[in-house]
Amino acid sequence: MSPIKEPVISNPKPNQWLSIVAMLSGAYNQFAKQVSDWINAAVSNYGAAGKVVTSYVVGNKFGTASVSTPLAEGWFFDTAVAANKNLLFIPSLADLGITDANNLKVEVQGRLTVSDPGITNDPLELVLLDESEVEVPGTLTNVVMSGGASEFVVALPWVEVPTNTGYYIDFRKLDVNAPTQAQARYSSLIVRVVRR
Amino acid sequence: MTSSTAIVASLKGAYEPKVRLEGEDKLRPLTEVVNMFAQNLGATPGSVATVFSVSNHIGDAAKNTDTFNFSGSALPGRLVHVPSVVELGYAAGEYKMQAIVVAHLRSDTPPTDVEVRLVDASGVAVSGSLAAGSVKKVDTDDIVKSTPFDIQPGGYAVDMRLVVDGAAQVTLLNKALLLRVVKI
Repeated sequence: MSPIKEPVISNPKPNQWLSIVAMLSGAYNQFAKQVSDWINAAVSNYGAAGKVVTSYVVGNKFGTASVSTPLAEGWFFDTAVAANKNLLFIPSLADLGITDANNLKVEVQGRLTVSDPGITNDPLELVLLDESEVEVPGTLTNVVMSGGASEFVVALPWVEVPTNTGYYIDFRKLDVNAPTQAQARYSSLIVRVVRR
Repeated sequence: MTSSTAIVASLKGAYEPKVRLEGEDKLRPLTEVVNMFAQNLGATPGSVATVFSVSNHIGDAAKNTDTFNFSGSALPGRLVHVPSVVELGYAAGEYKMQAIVVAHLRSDTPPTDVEVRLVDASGVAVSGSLAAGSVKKVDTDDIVKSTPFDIQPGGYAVDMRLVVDGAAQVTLLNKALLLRVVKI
């Protein structure tokens, strides 16, 4: 930590949350240095980029029926039987109590509870969409089912998303081994507030 | 002894060290930086320490009336439970719980103006929970949400009415509360 004098110079390095890089020379340098070092140590423990500030889960029924089954190899919400979309709502930054919006972001991980009643062990494709039916980039996921007739959870990648809007997961099954369709009952998002 | 880490006064002059933060041009008093740090930790009054969500995704029957469903003589059947701050590991008297109603709705004849509110297990409306909105969708949830309000531990239900009697058939689907633990 190097002493500086006012007026200050340009400091274009991107802000790393509350990281003290200099202090004003004065009679109380030692005190200032001790407190500054303490804050920087605390920041490195709590406020470093990538640190999760808080997290929670929001969930909803996947479709209107208790069990949702897509038609042959089709995306579930593209089929006529599956029009109604139950959203997973992400509140606004203010709702989440975020006052430091420049240094915090909201990330979500979609999760779909599915089962493979025909024990086909076929591939699934899943994707997260916003309420305008636009695919959230980076969320297309391919898995090969191995859970059999019991429910299992497929997790999509973590992605940063806009807030104060709703999302939903869509999925389809590829009939590689057998045409028996997969089923979905419950969708959720793990929501976390993360330091940039 | 204070329950807050907020610094409300400091001696001005040579006794107040100034520091510069990464990415900034100006100097800040060190006390200001400490306060910023405390606020971001959820340690200053009004700051949110953590959030979570509770919900009941069993939808209600569609309705077309301008009256709420629940009252002291018509108690709610399905409740969502709000825990205490102590159950979540926060000190009683230092933190409080706030809620935001997040109601998922659809209308068969959108747009349809509605009001939602939260009632406790006795059918009594929770102060500050009333929210108005317009349901604009038929086949996808539309969200009507309230502003944050203080809430006590217990069971609650989301209640809904149409602003104009008979305007449409509106269905209240997932009923969620976003809960915030707030520093007092």
